[in-house]
Amino acid sequence: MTPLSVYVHLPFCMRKCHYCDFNSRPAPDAERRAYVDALRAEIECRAGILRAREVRTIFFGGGTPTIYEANELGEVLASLTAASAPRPPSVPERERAARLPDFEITCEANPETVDLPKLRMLREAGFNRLSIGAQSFDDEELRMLGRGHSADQAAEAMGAAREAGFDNVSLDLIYALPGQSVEAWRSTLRQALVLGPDHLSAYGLEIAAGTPLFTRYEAGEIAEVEDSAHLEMRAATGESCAEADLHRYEISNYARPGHECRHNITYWRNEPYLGLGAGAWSYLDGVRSANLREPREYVAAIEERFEALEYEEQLGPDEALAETLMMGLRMTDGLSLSQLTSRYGAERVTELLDKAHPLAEIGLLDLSDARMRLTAEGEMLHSEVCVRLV
Amino acid sequence: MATQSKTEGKNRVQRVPQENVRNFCIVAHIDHGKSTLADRLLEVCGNVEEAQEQMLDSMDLERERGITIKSSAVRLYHEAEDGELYQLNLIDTPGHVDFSYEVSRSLQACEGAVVLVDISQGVEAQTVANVYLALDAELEIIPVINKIDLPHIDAEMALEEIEGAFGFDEEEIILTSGKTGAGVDELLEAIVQRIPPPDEDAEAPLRAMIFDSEFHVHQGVIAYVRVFEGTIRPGDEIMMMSSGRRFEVSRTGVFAPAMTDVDELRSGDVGYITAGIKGVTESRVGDTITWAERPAEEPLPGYREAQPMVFCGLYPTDNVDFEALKDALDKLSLNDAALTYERETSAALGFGFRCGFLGLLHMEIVQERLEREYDLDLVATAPSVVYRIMLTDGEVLEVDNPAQFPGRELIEMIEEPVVEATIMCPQKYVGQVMMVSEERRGAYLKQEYVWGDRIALHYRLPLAEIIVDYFDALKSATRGYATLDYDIAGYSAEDLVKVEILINGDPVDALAIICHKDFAESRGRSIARKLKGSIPRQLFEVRIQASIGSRIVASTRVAPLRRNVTEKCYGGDVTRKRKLLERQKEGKRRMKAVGNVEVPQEAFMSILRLDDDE
Repeated sequence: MTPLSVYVHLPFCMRKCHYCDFNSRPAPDAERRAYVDALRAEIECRAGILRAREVRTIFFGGGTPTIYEANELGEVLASLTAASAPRPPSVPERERAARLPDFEITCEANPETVDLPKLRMLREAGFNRLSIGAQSFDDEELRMLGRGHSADQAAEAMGAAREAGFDNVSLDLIYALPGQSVEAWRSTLRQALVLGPDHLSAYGLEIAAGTPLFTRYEAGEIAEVEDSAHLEMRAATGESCAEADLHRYEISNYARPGHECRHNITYWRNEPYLGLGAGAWSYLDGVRSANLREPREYVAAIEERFEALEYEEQLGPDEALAETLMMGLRMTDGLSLSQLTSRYGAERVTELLDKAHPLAEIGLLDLSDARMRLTAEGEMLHSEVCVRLV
Repeated sequence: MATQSKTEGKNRVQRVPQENVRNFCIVAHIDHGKSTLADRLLEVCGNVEEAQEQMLDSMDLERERGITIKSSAVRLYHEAEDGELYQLNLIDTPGHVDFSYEVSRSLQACEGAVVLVDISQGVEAQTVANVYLALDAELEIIPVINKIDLPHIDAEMALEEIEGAFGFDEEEIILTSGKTGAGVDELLEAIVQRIPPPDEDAEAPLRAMIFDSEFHVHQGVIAYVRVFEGTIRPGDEIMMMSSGRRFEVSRTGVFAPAMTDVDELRSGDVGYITAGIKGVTESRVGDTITWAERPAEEPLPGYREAQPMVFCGLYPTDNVDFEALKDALDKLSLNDAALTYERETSAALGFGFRCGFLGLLHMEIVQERLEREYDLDLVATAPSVVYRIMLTDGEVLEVDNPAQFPGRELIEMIEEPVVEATIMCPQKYVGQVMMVSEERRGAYLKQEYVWGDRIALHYRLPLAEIIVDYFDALKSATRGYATLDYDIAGYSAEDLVKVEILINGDPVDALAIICHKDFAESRGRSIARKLKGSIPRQLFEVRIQASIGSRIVASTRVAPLRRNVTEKCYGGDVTRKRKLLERQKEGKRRMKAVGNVEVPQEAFMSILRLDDDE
């Protein structure tokens, strides 16, 4: 059976962070409740797809999924595993997922929304991977980012996760914050790594239009970190992670061997996935589609017509190749040329190599071992390389 | 007398006696409301029920820029207070200094001119220049103050200014508003009473002047003519007096305002003819049409061939578009006798055309039309004038492209075209005007008081300086109050040198400029600085140098790009990111690869602009 990854979007937050341009916002209880009902309805409507494939990873992202009670999240997961095949019939529904060893089921969590009992319930419900949005271990920086927690709360959440039985925990961090020194970033890194995460995501801050940080940036109150400092922080990330046995496998992601995020690798390998919830994207049978972005509209559409599609595009081979390249080059091991050839044909790959060789000559691409991957220098120029390859 | 009456919707054509014909034009500075007033005249005379804005400006570009590029002619009928029906031929004239020859030909086609002055702006340099042109053409002038509907503005000052500048009496001046229609009836009466009818001989051999012509896909060229002597009818065999080329007239007619055929155009009439003419180069503005079999002895005076003064290279950003560019130029030139073009090859830019224009505005209009109407992505090199170079062996070269300058050791002397410029501005800006002019090698000639505190300054300036940014600089130094008019005034020997630009060590022919020796170093530095600002960071370091002869006078670098990555990218971002990549790729397509360096289109044009701090 074709493998499938499933993404579930939970768009609500306690508050909107100052850098966030994601599909997320605070909402009243009733709206949050109606949203979960709609999600479960969508899952039932999509049962055909879920049953026809082998679901291997599930990812609850947001927003802040843990703004919901553990039992609510458990109910959604239970609907999902119930709709998926195969399963041994004798095992109670909510335990089935946990028993599938190959199943990666992640939930994103913000430190201020979880405690030990809640995390225990999540683990029991079947979640086996936790991704904690720590972002920084400096309270001043956390305030600038508009986060609702302190550095200590992040550390406590990590401890509680371990105690609750999560043996696969990831931390999210943001660097290159306005005014941040390389030393300050090293300090955050140290405090994160001492907690012993199995996985770390570290992103350079992007000051996105429409966010409060952008307003301050426009007003000249804050400035972007210089390129040289940015690159230095990134280098520091690689070094510190390596010392903690976390190895980089994607532009911004580091993992202990065997703990790479299998769900996200689905995206980077440009393989099929089903997205559920407001604004969630799917990629099935060469069709890229997205649900209505606004939660209220999504709920109304599901109630009315049992689906909430807003956008759909059948990708042609050139577009599919462009997306495969763009995503695949994010991975440290890049793309296999033979796989590219079988997926997109020899002619396209030959054309691609014509464009790739000059980039290899200037040291941005590595074409050895019948693969195509970015060099260390090329990684920070990912967009430039892609523009020249598509 | 052959009478003809034809009523077709709004297009009425009636024959009136010659003494009831009035040929006039409206002379105005840009934005003084000429088109609006013309629309109002059309409306009042019943040609149109409700005027579409700027009826007479037919090109989209004209409407957008609010200027008239091509002339047009409309026939109006007005029943005057004396009870008689008058035929008024309104000839619209272009309103920009690039087209002053066209203006002079349009004036030649009239017996009178309405001089329009914006109540809030007063008399401008171009108005003065055009009034002089009208006086030269011995036209009866009706001074008009327009836009009297503007609130809080006193007509007194504008009245005094017109009286002072041209010596008109207050009683002669008519106050109008194109917007509300106030004063329009009074103006029509003045046209009837003050402008004389054409006084010409319908029996003499034909002499008709072309004051504009327009190419039409189905009908070939439509020539706008003013008949001075004789008559012209369909079937007549005619001859262009400048070239001797013969054509058979297929249609004669008038604009009312739609094209309306008539049996004949007689002396004194303004109208159009078609005669199977294939391109506007065969019906040049100012040329005299006569009968092939019984030609006139002399052409009408004043014809001259349109002389391109400003040249630049036009290149497709993508070389595969070369043929498309050639096609587009072929088509445009059918309608633009002043546009010249010939193939040229640039080491940096590939295949393109060296194009000649009347002036900077003409150049911009052509470029814009090529990009808009023909959907071409173009690189234009910095504009150049025609230099006259005396070589040591006595040969004289005319060079319109800095890239083609001979080596310095071969040059005996270089001459460049100069102009005499008239700048009008309020007295308090005289210092700034002088500064701006002298920075651009202007030689002060004289100044005079026009009226009140308005001063006319006269400078002799190299045309090369004018075509760069002189007018923009004047405008910004005088808060928009300065107006400029200029005439070509021959050639002058100057100490000129070629400044070359090297990118990563290689000279780029399309970036070379010619300038005065005294300014060469600072220009070189300024260009290097500008290029540094406009060349985006590349994957490798870009060195930019300026040299004079073999001496490097400026050197700078664009640091390589080290970071351009979306650090956070998951399943929801894929298609959005791909589309972003596609847009970036499109953006790259609009840059020109010089060697392996990507240079944006505008960099080639911008190199001549002086820095604000210089």
